[in-house]
Amino acid sequence: MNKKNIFIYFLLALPMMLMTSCLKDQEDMFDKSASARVTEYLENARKVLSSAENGWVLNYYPDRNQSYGGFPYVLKFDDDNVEARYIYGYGEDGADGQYTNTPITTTYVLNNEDGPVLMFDTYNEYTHLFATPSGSSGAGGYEAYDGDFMFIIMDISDDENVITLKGSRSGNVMYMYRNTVSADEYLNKARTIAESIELSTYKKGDLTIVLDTDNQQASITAGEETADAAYIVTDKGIKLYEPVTVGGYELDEFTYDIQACTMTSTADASLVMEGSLPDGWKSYEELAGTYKCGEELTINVSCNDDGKTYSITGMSYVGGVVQAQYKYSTGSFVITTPQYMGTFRDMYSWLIATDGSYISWGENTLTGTNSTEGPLTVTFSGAEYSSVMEYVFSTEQPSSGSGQGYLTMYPNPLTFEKAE
Amino acid sequence: MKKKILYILPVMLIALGFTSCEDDDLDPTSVITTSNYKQNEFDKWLEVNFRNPYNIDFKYRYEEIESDLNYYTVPAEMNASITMAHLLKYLCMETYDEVAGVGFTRANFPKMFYLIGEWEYRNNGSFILGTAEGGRKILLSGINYLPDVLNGTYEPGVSIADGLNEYYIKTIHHEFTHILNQTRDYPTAFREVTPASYVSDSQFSDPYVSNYLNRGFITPYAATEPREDFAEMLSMYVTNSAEWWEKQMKAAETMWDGDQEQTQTGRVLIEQKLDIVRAYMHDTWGIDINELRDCILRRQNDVVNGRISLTDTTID
Repeated sequence: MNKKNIFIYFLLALPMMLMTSCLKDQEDMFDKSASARVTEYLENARKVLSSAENGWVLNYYPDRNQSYGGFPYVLKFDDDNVEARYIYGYGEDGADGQYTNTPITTTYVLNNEDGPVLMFDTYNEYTHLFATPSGSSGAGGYEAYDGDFMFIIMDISDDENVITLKGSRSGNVMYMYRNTVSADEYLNKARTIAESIELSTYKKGDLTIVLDTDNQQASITAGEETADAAYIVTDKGIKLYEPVTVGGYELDEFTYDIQACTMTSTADASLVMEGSLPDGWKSYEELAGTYKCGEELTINVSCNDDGKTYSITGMSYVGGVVQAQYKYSTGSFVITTPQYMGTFRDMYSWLIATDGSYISWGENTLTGTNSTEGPLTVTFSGAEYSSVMEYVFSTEQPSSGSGQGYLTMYPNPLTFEKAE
Repeated sequence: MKKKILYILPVMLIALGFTSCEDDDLDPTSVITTSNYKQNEFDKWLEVNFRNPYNIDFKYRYEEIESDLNYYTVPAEMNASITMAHLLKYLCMETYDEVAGVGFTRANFPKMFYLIGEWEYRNNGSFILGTAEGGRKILLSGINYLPDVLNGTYEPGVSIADGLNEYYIKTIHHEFTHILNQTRDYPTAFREVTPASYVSDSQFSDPYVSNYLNRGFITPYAATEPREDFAEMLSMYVTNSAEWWEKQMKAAETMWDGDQEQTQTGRVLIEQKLDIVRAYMHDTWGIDINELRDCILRRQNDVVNGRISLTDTTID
């Protein structure tokens, strides 16, 4: 064997490499094409959706950080349309301040844009509520409330009673449960629960849950460990956005006893948490009085005749009276902005929200928290803004072009310190 | 050695011929699936009034792929979409049918309309009324406000006709002008009338926003760039009355003192531009813009006076 021969054999072998073989076992992994399977999946989803006689309870969470908590919907599907009911539905025949269960019916579509997708594809005032943008600043502005109307169907449970959805914009995982009672019953009960949760603090042993009922957030403490989660009201109590394990407790859903003011874990009937008022809680009357606001301002808080709100004098440069509400669950103040303070020369003075760098003349809520030790200090906080500013506009209604400058600055965060 | 290599080559070629494989039958069902919802009454009406005569796709149901993902948008409301379809047909397509012939409309009018419910809000509070894409598609926003505009409650003090124009119809003519320009460009002379006065993104800031007429622009937005100027000129001209136009011209008769270079009054400049627009439309497209204006105003009047049903979806 010389090198030349090896080379020739090698060359002879070369044609073999070109003889591409055919494997006869190239069976399809699935017996149908991908698109046929998706179509089948969607048709099945449509069947499951329209099979619920009492509709589906959708635990809807807008905003990628779930900062507003969850909002129950009851959705009833037929082949083409969805009949939507919303816990805080206002409807056309809803009397002032009264919620209605009258549905709004629009179309939906199942498609394959990002995997199997359920989308409400014509406008519905309920299902698109949190996704509708506006020209105002802050939450609900050009980014709306970061809510979804397009959902990826992640899973349909084997018993077809739970559908797992993922909001395509927020990425929030939301669940739809087959509703076992009538839509009216579910929503009425959930509303009653929401209205009855007045106490903010629930305790059992070393476990404490503090609820922010405005933004539906739960702060959980177990010994040294803490966790935060958004929650939603159900027809029986509250349910966390996702199960939380803290200090050995596995927490997910609670039944609320309206009479006893207790929260009982649905997974562990022995975990009965007693409702209590938070430390530092003050009664409506106790809160009235004279406070210092920052270094210079002395303000006076007096009770209004309605027994729920206060008038605050001494804050406004132009002599305006600031209105505040009493919040029972915290035993402290709530101040909403904007509030009109009066005229300044030929211009208009408003109390608006600020975070120190930005101002907002959209609607904002500042919630007070009382100090637990005297003298009483109330510290305010809000979703985006933690203080207020008295600001002058050249037009009657605040707008971006008409801002002239501030009249009064207050501490950031806004604090009221009770004078002894 | 060379010879042997030559022998091997044909063998290699033969080997290539062995690459057979089993027969793969074509699957009789396509892997392309179409939207899977049933046609409702409105869809059937669109088939007869949009698809068949003009081959126009009127998309009123939300599709992520048609939406501009830079904005938070929501779907259009169904009944408002029905009204919009009627307005589009009566005020736009049939106008061009009447003035330039149905062949013109079929050949040039955009092939797709896509509707969304809200305006496209920017983070500074301003918003977008509509956009045109590639001579083919027009996106119309704010459809959910159409009922309010039509009953005069959307913007107090603005007439129904003005509201319709301001928010929707003028937008369509404006975007259609872009499409015409994209097909056949307008004369470069247009750009030379006020070459140094375009201010791009400062168009809505002072001093420009309050002196646009004196500076030779029919709207503040026209001062953005020549392309927009051209579209604003034509769309404002054909959607407003001769009296309104003359009023603007009167207001433009002074010269803006903020620019030493400007040697002519706004009126002279705007009228120079109008001549170019008029000639372009006449010579390139065979359309007399006065005739177009009369037709649009007459039809607008019919809508405002309720002579046209905007809700009927029965097919005759």
